[in-house]
Amino acid sequence: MINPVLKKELKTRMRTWKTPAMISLYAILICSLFFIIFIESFVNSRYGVGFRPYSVRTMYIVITIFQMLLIIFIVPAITSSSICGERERRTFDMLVGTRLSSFSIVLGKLMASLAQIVLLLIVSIPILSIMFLFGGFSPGNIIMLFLFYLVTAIYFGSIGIFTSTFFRKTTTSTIMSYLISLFLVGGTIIITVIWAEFVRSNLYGSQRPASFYPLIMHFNPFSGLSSILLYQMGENIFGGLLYTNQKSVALLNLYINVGVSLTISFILLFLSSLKINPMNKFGNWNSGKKRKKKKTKIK
Amino acid sequence: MLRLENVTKNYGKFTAVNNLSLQIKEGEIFGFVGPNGAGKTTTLKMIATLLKPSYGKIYIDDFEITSNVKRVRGAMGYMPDFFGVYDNLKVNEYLEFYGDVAGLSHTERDKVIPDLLELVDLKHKEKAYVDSLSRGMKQRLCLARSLIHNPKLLILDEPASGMDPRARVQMKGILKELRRMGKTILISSHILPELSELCTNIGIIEHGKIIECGTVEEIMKKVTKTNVFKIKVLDSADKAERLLLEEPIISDVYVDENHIEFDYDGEEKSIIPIIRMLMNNDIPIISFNPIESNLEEIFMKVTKGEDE
Repeated sequence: MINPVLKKELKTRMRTWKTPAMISLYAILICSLFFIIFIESFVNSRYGVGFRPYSVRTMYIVITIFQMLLIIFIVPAITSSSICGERERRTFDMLVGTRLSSFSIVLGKLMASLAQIVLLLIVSIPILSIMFLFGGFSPGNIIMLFLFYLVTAIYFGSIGIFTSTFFRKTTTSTIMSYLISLFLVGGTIIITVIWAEFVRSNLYGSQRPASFYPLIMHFNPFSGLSSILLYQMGENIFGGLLYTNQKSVALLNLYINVGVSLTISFILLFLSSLKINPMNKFGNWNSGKKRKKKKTKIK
Repeated sequence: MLRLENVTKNYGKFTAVNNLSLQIKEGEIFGFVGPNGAGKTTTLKMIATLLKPSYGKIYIDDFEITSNVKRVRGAMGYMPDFFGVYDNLKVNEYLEFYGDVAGLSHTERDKVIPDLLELVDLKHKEKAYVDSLSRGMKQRLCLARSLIHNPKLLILDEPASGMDPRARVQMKGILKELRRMGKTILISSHILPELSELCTNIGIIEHGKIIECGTVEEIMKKVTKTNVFKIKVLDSADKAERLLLEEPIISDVYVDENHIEFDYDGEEKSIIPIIRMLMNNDIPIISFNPIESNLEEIFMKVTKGEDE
């Protein structure tokens, strides 16, 4: 039987103007980027006006990164209101007071958000498929990429749901989920740059590692994406930052990245389910904090 | 059906419910009365498994609620005092959702929803969006929601709050129907005359403690130690007052123009010789009647009414 929360969420979300607007905007953005790269490769061709098949490679890499950024940007916005939205709407008590388990509620919320992301990915398939016309890609490449997008959506969706269970207000939850996302995407790179600089300036010759890949990068979804691109295109998007140009290492990094993302997602969803369970000790941990005595001024 | 044993709920240093014990038998309609901040909603939320008691045990159908959450939730329906609805959901879809959540099969759900809509008089609004309904209709829909899995125990927190008189009468009618169906109902309300009309038992709560519990008559007897009788005279009110004060069973007499009220000890029949005595002394009595205490008066007498 389909999760009732998912069923309800799909019904209510698809009835608003926001979903079609989001899908249209997403398609427009990807099409625009595709068009810009296409035109640019025509105009700036060194060999006169004409399309260079090699620019399809650039197109694929740019669109892949762009789509990843869009997912990272959209998913927290969708999920960060999922539980605190119920609180603000005053429907939370009626939902958690039912026979549905807390984990099913959290899972239903995540699946509803994923459904929207899947819709966006499906919308982008025809656009990406244009690249098949120029050759060099197999449907397997796209499937691999889309599966990775889905894992990333689960990862960032879990972060959004986690913040929405721990913060009562949607605004706070959204800000927190974006801050965490920003740290995972940008913060880990900054730490890696600092660490790489330290390695370069302090280790010489044989002391330098043949393969440099700090542990923290496995928390960054771009680590997995760069591994996919390295595996599919032989292109390292992190350049000289990470010394991993071997395809076999790239695949291993991808598996580790996917494993880390899914494990963190499961932990966050589990913690979220504990937090929304009123009969759990963990679920009542901040129930006393909201009570503040009102001070009345005596005139 | 429902048993609370020394239940306490603390929020940090603040005690919302203090060592509360209560028992409600099957088929009873128990009215929960108390001033704002007395701990009514906290108690109801604990029973509805939405708050964990700090101390004490709650049993529904002899099952301790914290260790039998699923079973207990299946046996009771809860209607909160303030609640919201989902946008973009129709009335029948709203009930379908809660039917699914309660674990009903599609056949069961489709069978029970029309009956519930009939019960709460929302059949004509079946295809309307929930957020377009009036407050009274939303309250009735929420009641239908809490009944979707046919619970034995209903917990209603201020079900008639914010309703206009017509909607309140409708809600009262539905509750009477539920009483006829044999449901056990725990209801908290500020509208005391309605409670006294509906409830078999009443519990008065203040500062998180039950201060009086029993039938309305029992509490009335406990709280009102003397009976009050009222007579209206054509004139000679001062003479009547003098005569009444001479009677040993009469403790106090209040005169307001031609209206005389007096407190007396004893049974109702002990008033007969007093009326006869007044008439023998040429007091022109126009009317006389006993004054019965109502729940509102009991509530005012029992509670201190301090703001927390």
